[in-house]
Amino acid sequence: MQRLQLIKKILAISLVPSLALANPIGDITEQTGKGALTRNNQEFVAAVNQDILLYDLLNTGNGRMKVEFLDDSNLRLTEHSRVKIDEVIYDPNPSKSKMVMKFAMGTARFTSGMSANMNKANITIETPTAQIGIRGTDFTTTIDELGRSLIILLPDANGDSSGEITVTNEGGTVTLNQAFQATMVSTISSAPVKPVQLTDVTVAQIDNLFIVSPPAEIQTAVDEVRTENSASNILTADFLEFNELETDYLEEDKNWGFSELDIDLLDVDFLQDLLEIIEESDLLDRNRSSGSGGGFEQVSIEGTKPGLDPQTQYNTIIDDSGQIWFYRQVTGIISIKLPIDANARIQTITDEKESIITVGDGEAVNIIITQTN
Amino acid sequence: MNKYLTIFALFLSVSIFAQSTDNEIFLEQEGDDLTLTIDQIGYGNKFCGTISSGACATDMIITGSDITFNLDQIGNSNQLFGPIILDSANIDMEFTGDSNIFDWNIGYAGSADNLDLDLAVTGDSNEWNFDLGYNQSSENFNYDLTLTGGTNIFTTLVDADSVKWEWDITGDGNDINTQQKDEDQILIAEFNGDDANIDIIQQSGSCPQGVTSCSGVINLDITSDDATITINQKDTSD
Repeated sequence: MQRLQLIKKILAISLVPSLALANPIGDITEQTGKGALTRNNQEFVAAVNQDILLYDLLNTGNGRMKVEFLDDSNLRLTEHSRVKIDEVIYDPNPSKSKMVMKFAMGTARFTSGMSANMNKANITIETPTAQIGIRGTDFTTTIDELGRSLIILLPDANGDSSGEITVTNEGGTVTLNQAFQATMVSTISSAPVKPVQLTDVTVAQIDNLFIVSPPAEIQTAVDEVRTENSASNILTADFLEFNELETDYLEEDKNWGFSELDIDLLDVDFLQDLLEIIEESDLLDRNRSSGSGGGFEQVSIEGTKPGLDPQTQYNTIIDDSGQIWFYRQVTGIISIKLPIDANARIQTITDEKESIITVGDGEAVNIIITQTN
Repeated sequence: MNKYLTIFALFLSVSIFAQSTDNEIFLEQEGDDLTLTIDQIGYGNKFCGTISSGACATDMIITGSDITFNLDQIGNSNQLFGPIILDSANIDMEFTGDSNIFDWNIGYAGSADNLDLDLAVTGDSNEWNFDLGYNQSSENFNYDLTLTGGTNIFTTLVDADSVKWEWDITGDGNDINTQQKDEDQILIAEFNGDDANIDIIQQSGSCPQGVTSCSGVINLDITSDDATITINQKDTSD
C-alpha cells in the first residue's frame, strides 16, 4: 500500500513538471535542537513533518535532523552540518530518476532507499573536494571548514558491507566496498587517499569529532600521502576552485538565528561522546601498542575478540585498573567491567542477533541483556 | 517565607502534629523554601503521616519548592513513608540499621522536577521502595545511592526525563530492581558482593518531539562470585 502511494506521488510529480519545484521530495522525520532550512532566500525553523523541496538548504545548529525522501532514502545530519538538495527527479522510469546533493559542512549520513524507483547509479553526493557515486549503500561524510572530506562506508544490519561507493575528484577515483572502509580527500585536485580499514569505530561515534581528530588510520594514510608528495601538494592545489569559499557562512548563521556562540560545550551529549571516544581510543591504542596482547593473555574470553568485534558489536579491552571492559553502543550504551579473574557469562539479545560471551568458566555472574527497539 | 525546621529525636517521643508513645514523627508540611533537618535515633523510629497499631498508616506529606531535606535515621526497624511533592529539592538521607522499611513516592500529584537525592544506607534486610514521577511529569533527577549491607531489597521506579543514577552497592544477597522510563537515562552502578539479584529495565517512553529513538546508558562495574543480572534496554515504553 505504501509502495502504491509512493508510486502515485512520483507519478504526480513527474506528470506535472511545472509544479515539480513546489512538490515535496521528502520531509523531516526527526529534529532535535536547532535546525533550519533555507528556501528562496527565506529561512524556516526546521520541524518534524516539514516538507523538503528541491534546492532547499538544510542546516543544523546545536541539533540533529533526519530527512526521508520519497524513494525511501534518508539523510541524517549531526550538529553544525549543511547539505543542499541540488537536483531531484522522480520518474516512473528508474533510469531517468536522479538525485544530487551537496554536502557542504559537518557530518551527514546518507542511506539509499530500498525501493527500485531510482537507479542508485543516478544518485550523486558532492562534497567540496570530491564526488561520491553509490550503489545501494549507507555511508557518512565529515567535512571540515576547508572542505576536506572524510568518507566512511557503513555496515549493513549484519555487520557486512552495505554496498559500494566510489569517491572521485580530479586526482582520481577510489572504491570503498568494505564496512568501515574510509578515505579522505583534502583538495579537489589531490587524489583521495588509498582506502583504509577503520577498526575501532562504531556508527554512533561518527560525528564532527572527526573534524578535530580523524581516525588514526586515516591520519596515517594522509600523512603518508603528504610525505610522498610534500613538494607537489601545495603547488598543485588550486584553492580558487573551492567554490564553498564564495559562501559567507557567518552571514547565513546571522540570518537564521544561531552562531558559534550557540555551541554549548557543556552539552552533556557532546562531552559524553568526546570523553568516551577519547578514553576508549586511548585505551585501545595502549592495548595495541603494549605488544603484550593488551593483557588478554591473563584471561579466558570466549564469544568475542579483543578490540571491536563486528559480530558481537562489543569493544573488549583491559582497562587501566586491570579490569575487563565490555562496551557496546548500539541502541543504547552497555558498559560492563569485570575483574580480570571473573567468571561470568554475558548473553546479549537484540532484535537482530544474539551473542554469548564467556569469561573464565562463566559460572559465577550471569548477565542477560535484552536490547530492543 | 523561609522555614527552618530542625528535629532531634533521641530516644524521645517526638511528634509535630500528634503525640505518641514511640519515637515517631508525623509531618504535614506545605510551602516553599523549607529547610528540614531531622536526626532520629533509636529503635522503631517512624516518620509518616499517622500511625495505627504500631505501624505507619498514612503517609507524611511535604509539598513545595526549593526544599532542603536532611534526614538521618539511626537504629533498627525504622519506617519512612511518603508521599512528597517537590520541585527543586535537595534531599540527603542516611539510614543506619537493620530491617528498616522505606516507602516513598515523589510526583504522585503535583510535579517533581529538578531533584537531587543522596541516599546512604548501612545495614541489612532493609526494604526500600521509591517511585518518582508516578503520575506527574518529571525531569532532571540526580540520584546517588550508597548501600552497604546485605539482603536488602531495593525497588526503584523512575519515570522522568534526564535522569542520572550513580549507585555504589556493597554487600551480599541484595535484591535490586530498577526501572527507568523516558528519555536521557544514565545508570552508573558499582556492585560488590555475592548472591546478588539485579534487574535493570531502562526504557524510553517518550522521546523529544521528532525523535523516534532515545536510548540510554548503563554502566556497570561488577565484582561478585555469584550474581544474576538482567538488563532490559529498549527504545519504547512497552
